Amino acid sequence: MRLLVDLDGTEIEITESGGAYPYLSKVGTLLLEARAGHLDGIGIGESANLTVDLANDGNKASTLLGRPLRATATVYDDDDDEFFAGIVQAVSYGTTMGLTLEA
Amino acid sequence: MTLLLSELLPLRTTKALGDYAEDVPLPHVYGDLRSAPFPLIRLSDTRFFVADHPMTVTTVRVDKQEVQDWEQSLQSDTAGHTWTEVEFSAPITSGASVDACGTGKLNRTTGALIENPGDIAEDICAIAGRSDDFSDLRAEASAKALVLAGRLWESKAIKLHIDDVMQSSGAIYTPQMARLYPTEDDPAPVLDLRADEARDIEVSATLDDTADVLRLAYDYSYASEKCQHYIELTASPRRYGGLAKEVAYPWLRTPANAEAIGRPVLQRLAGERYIVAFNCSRRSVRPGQWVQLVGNPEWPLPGDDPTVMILTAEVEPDAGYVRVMGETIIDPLPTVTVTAHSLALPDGVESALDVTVRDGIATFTITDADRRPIKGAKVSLDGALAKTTDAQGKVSFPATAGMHELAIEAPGQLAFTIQVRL
Repeated sequence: MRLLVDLDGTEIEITESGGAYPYLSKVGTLLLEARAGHLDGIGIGESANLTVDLANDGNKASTLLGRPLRATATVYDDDDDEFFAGIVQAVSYGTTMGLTLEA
Repeated sequence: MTLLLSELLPLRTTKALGDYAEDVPLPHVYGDLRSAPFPLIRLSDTRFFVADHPMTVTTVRVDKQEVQDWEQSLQSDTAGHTWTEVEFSAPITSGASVDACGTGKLNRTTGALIENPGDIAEDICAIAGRSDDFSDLRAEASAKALVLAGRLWESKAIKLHIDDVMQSSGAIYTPQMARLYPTEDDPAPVLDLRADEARDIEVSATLDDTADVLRLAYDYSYASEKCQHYIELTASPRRYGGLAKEVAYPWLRTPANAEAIGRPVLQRLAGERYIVAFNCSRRSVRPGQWVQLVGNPEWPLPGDDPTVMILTAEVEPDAGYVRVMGETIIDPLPTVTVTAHSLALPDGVESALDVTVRDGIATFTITDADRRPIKGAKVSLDGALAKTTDAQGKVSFPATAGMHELAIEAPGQLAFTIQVRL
């Protein structure tokens, strides 16, 4: 899998371990839900979102991405099909850098 | 800048117009609201704000009385924003309620009224800088002549504004698609899933969210803050003891649209409905898609291969499948008939008139603006000898299906004659 982050027109690609450092260490489960306000109990939850973790040893991921809130980001699967596209809605910094992408 | 669906819809506020006492969102108006008044925002004793775009105002009321001493005007600022105001020739006393009716925003390219739910949803997204695709919904709504009318006036999340539109259209949506569901039409397109593509099937059913009768309120008035009409639909056979459910689809405006949307919704509530979950090896399956489980030996119920509307999908990046959940309604679907509805009354009449038709007897119920029964009103159907409403405001006549002339007179309260379809 790979992550493409668009920072004001500059595209930064981050791949899984084995590619260029920093790398994509984890992609969470994507829950997709149809919203239907007229049908009780269907799709009244949050907007679709996905968390991705980047290895951040030596703050290399955070140095590369800086403050990516509101940046558009796309995750591609191993067949290079789009897995999820959204906007960085939340970010956390530590030994891993966590991004929450929201549709 | 693109906004998230969970962020506030960036409606301009009165601050954008200068210093006004109130800082409230500037409304957008969609569709034909010529019979559903909406309040105006006071800018001065003579100037009132209508909508943050060009539109046509057809009537203006002050304290619920139609007035004539007003003119519509379009205003613009240096940034190119254009909005609609109403200006009175004489000051309006503070505290007076001022509302209007009219037709809303026009498509900038075609000049057509924006009233298809797909077009309205796309316009809302455009306000937020988004370009979500509602083309499926647009086509399905167009085929059913489904149009909406309503107003954006609250400060709330983009997705909640879209929810309002989807709810009144009887549609489900994700950022990738929107479509009418449930629908009386045959599902299309349907993705066939072979037995090896749908595994670990779990099927369940519950008595939650079931009903035999649906009372659907529609035609919301922003001035009176309530729906002005309703339609009652009843399913046959009654599987759930006659249980009734009340729903509101505020942006629906016509009885034909209310019936068209309500009928499949009741078929879903009154039908034999099952929740279906399974692992799908087609990882591209997404909510809003129809799938059919073809010849699957895991399917536990007798009958035809089930057609399932997918409602959720859990996608694990490294799994070879997607866990999906959806629902299926087993044939035969219940039959749905209209058993009661409210009738449109002449402009200015604040009373309400409901009618039920059962076994060839039409029963009219007349209530005042506060829904209190009007006793002693004289009612005549097709010129026959008048009858008088009872303490519940009811009066009954033998009647056949079709158009009839109904005359009502309640001294000091109301007097009118209308054409009604029974």
